[in-house]
Amino acid sequence: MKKFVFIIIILSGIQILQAQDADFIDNLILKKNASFQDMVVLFLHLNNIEQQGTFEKKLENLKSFINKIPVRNPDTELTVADFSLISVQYLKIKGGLFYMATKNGRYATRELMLAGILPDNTSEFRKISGEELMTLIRKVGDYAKK
Amino acid sequence: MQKSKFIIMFIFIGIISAYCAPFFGGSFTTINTFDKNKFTTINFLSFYIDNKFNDNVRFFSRVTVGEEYYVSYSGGNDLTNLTLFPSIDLLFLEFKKSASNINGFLKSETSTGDNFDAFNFKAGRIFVKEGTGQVMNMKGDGLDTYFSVGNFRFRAYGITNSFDYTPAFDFNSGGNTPTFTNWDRKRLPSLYLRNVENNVDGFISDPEKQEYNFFIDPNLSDDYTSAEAARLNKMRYGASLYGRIFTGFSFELHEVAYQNFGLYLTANVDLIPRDYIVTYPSLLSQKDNTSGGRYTSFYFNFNVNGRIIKNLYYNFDGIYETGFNSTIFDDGTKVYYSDRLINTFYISHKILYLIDSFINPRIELGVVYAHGDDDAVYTNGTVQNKAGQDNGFRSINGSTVSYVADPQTTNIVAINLSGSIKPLNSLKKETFSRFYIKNDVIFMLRPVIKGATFYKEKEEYTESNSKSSSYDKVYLGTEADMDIIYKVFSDFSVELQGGIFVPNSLIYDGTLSVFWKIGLGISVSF
Repeated sequence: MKKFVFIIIILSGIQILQAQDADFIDNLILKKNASFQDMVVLFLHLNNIEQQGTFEKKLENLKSFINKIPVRNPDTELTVADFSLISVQYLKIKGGLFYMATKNGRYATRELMLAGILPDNTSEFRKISGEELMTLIRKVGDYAKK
Repeated sequence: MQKSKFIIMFIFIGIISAYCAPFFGGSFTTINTFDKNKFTTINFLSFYIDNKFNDNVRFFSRVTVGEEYYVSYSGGNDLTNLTLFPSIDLLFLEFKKSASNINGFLKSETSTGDNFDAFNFKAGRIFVKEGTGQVMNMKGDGLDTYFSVGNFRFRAYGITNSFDYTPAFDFNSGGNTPTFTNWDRKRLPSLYLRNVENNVDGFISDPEKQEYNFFIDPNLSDDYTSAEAARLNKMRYGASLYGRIFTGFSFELHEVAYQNFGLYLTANVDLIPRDYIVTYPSLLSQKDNTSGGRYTSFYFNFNVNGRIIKNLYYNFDGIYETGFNSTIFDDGTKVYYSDRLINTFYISHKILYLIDSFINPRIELGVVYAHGDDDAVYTNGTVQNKAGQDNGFRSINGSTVSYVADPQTTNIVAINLSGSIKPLNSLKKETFSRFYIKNDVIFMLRPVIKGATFYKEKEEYTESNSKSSSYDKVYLGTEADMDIIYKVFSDFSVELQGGIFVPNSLIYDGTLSVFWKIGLGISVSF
């Protein structure tokens, strides 16, 4: 049921994934902690860029529209800070004084809270589950359309 | 011992921070104001840590350091608020059960306001706001809990300000210490008085000042024998803890045909020891300063608010206040006090209209009526009832009704017309879109003609002659204010505030024909 609801959300929402990615979705939804690579794949989907190939290839593709990408292993558990840093650049949010000065995940997190994408008082150290990553990516896509 | 407590506290915070993913940060705020008498600057720096162990348990702590300094144009200056010792603003443990099983990350829209909880319990140094906040809007040490069933919510709380030590360090953060009596003002020892000459114990008040004073010196007065004075002085140490206890219950019904209903019952219990209600009884000519008083009050607050038609909203607040206030009497042979009934009320009604436009205009018309007393005297924020019932409304939060004149919400009718716009709101996501401008015009009247007001009146209107109850006294003045807020960045905002108040020239006794005030505030969060 849970899986069905999320598939509906995805299909009726930003429609970022193709049918061949069903396995990817299935696996992601059930993950207690999404990985850094999962996020990279979803952002490539969001920008309609090829997401196949090695992790290095995916990062290279991501660099075509994201300037600063934190150095992580593909299986590193995804944190709010890393997700926020990529999202803020994707959304071209200029950010506050401290974000402009540091360009780090901590202050990128604040920007996403202000944009209403993250709940208030979210720690940048918090891990993100597969389900949560799917929902957050959809919110990022919605915000980009505003 | 004290050092070890701090070490244990930091280790404790360190362990729980490592255990969960903490949200932490801080803010710096500076507020600078010029008025007709002086320049004042208030600066404070806060750090907070918010640990969510899971969706149901949370630990929050915030500490603040700051100072307040003023320079009078006539030459005086003083550092009135200073703490380098961090004041613990908030420190609580929260248990809650959300009405929804979906966590904040999975909600389609994240909430920017209060999260709706089926059950919530907080313990520690907490902030409590009831209804519109007109009665209860302060922090204290205690418990706060509520549960919700459908649209109904029941809440109960109990807090005290007895353990708020910040006045001891000459610092009052946020003005959250309610002041009804001189005991509220001087209950805690002030650090700067330690250097006053002849202050034997270096403890509470200035022994050279003949005002409400806890340093009771038999050499300065015949009111007490040496033994009595010694007993009272010794008692002060423990008595400093006797502040106030605030308890309350509330019943709320939300969103019934776009209407919200609330009934709030609040008690404010004064813990002043009996021995300190009157000090230096011989100084009756300065009775206002020698009376500590005892002010215990109970509030019955009814609120209803909601939508009338599209874009038109209202808010009605009615409060009945009762309780007792100590009144000091002198029968010629002795001084004594008697508890007199408080019997008064407050009404506020607001109408808000939102106009559909790209600059988001809002127009609001509001009326506040706070009943007054015909013989009460208000000094330094305290109230002394001279005779009979006390009919002057006083809320716990000590709210005022305007920026420049800043009158307390007692014996006043304030009719407020305000409008606000966001002039560049159409520039979405751009820096300049975050401008907010608000204008207010406030007409102030006095419901009880013989009652006191917030500025000095001409003598012929304060004496007991025909002019004391003249209808000239009804109109107090008009104030016009402007407030501009510019959120330059998400973490940096600037606020410019200004206004003038024109008092009723028939009754106002002062050299300047207008009051004015300009303020500049800057806030940075990190």
